[in-house]
Amino acid sequence: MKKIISLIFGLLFPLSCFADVIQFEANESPPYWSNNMPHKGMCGEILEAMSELAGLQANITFKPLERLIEDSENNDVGNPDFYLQQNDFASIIPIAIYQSAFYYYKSNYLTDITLRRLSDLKHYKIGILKGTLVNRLSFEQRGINFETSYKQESIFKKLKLGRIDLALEIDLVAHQTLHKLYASHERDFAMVSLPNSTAPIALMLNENQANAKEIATQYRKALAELIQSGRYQKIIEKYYGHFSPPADWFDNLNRFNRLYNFIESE
Amino acid sequence: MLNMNVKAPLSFLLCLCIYSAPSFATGPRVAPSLFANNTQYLYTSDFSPFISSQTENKGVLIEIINTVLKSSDISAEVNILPSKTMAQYYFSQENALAIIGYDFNFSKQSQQKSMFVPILSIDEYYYTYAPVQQELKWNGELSSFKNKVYGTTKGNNVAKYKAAGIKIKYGRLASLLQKMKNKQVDFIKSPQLSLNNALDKHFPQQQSAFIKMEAKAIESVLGIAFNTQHADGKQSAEKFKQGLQKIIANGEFTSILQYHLGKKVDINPYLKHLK
Repeated sequence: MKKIISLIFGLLFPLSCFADVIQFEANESPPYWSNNMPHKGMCGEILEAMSELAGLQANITFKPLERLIEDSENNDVGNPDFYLQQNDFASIIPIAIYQSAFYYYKSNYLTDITLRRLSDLKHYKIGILKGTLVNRLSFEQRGINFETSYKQESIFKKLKLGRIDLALEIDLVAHQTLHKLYASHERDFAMVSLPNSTAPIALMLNENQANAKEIATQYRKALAELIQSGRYQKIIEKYYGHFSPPADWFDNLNRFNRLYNFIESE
Repeated sequence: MLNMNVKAPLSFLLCLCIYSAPSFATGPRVAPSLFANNTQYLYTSDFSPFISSQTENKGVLIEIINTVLKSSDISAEVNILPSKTMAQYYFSQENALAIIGYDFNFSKQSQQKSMFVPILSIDEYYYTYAPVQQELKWNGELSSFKNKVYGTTKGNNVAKYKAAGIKIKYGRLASLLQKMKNKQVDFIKSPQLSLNNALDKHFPQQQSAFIKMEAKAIESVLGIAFNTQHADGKQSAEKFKQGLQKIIANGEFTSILQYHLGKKVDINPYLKHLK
């Protein structure tokens, strides 16, 4: 009887699943992290390749962001700034970056839109994704107004219809959304880039993760190898397609590495 | 495909404040600080109710600082970061104009380059969770907490606690309160106002279980440390000192305290550092 029970447990729960799999939690944010994409998105594919090189096994499960932030016992992936407000981590390993930009529909305007000062935004109704607005009060005091949408596609449809004047979105997400919605006339949308909006995407290892420091060391080494071999660049280019990744990608990645190494060493 | 020539000279830093129910962990964070390239930053982190990205004018200390900046014609913006160690990084490693707060845990090098302007005195107390720690007493010596676990924010100086044989666990105030309940942390240190705010928000039904130990643990001074190696550091520090004196003298300082802390607030304890 004992043998049968052992066999059933052995089949259901192989030892390696318990011992080696590092559980990360993400929220659905395509094309960076998505349960509905091959390799779970661009960063999922980077993590997969890093794990392979490091000889580690990682698994990503997807949950709503608020639940992830509230959970102080888990390993997270994403932009650390969302999590550091409430949680500390044993290690934070930046693996990619992203930038944001303003967009407008050119046909709705006789001339190009230029934005020289923050106050210039007062003239426009700005479309953003629901939940991304930081400190609404501060914007309202400056007379800047937003219209929120639940989906990226809604933002760009509203932009084309003239229901909003500007859309603020991650450049890669905007590019893919416009390509999907308006492939034949993407050029009708203009982008006002925001080069200093660069933000990190990172693996965040919880202080309760067994061997967190060792795992972080292995992942950092694997990331360096991945970049060195050129495979990292190929993964990035696959997702960016004909839209160029930010030119200073690796400078920014190094900058965020310095920041999180400092935090870790404190 | 897109009009890449439309380049705004705006430089945007989507900075790190509080997020109103953010929905995407990898998303554009639409922060109020959409700044020009040459903006100077004063870095800090949340320390409610003195520094708070969730309250009007970002808390009492930041309103005082912004009032002084404006009256002294110092061009700089306060940037509230998600953690204290991030603020320390930008001050010590990226030559930021200043850091705001207290207990900066500076290295010798950072200490030498900083010029501190005190603004508010605050009393801090040790707290414990009574149902778990009934015997813990503060007798004025850290040795009374030997072998206990002290919960504090990462970035605070813990050298004297370690020297007294006290173990350290890190966390934000809310999570430290929870850790006290879970017996992972034995005691914490906090100003009474900060603790009351956290209890109101996170443990409204269990406030009486978190006990303040008399007497006060330490008298701390909140302020702003200017970076003397920054091109504008020394000049800004001098202008700031004068501006601060001006708003104390003309009553603006008192008005701000009363607005945030109540009309009946006695401002004298907050100005002990001036004596």
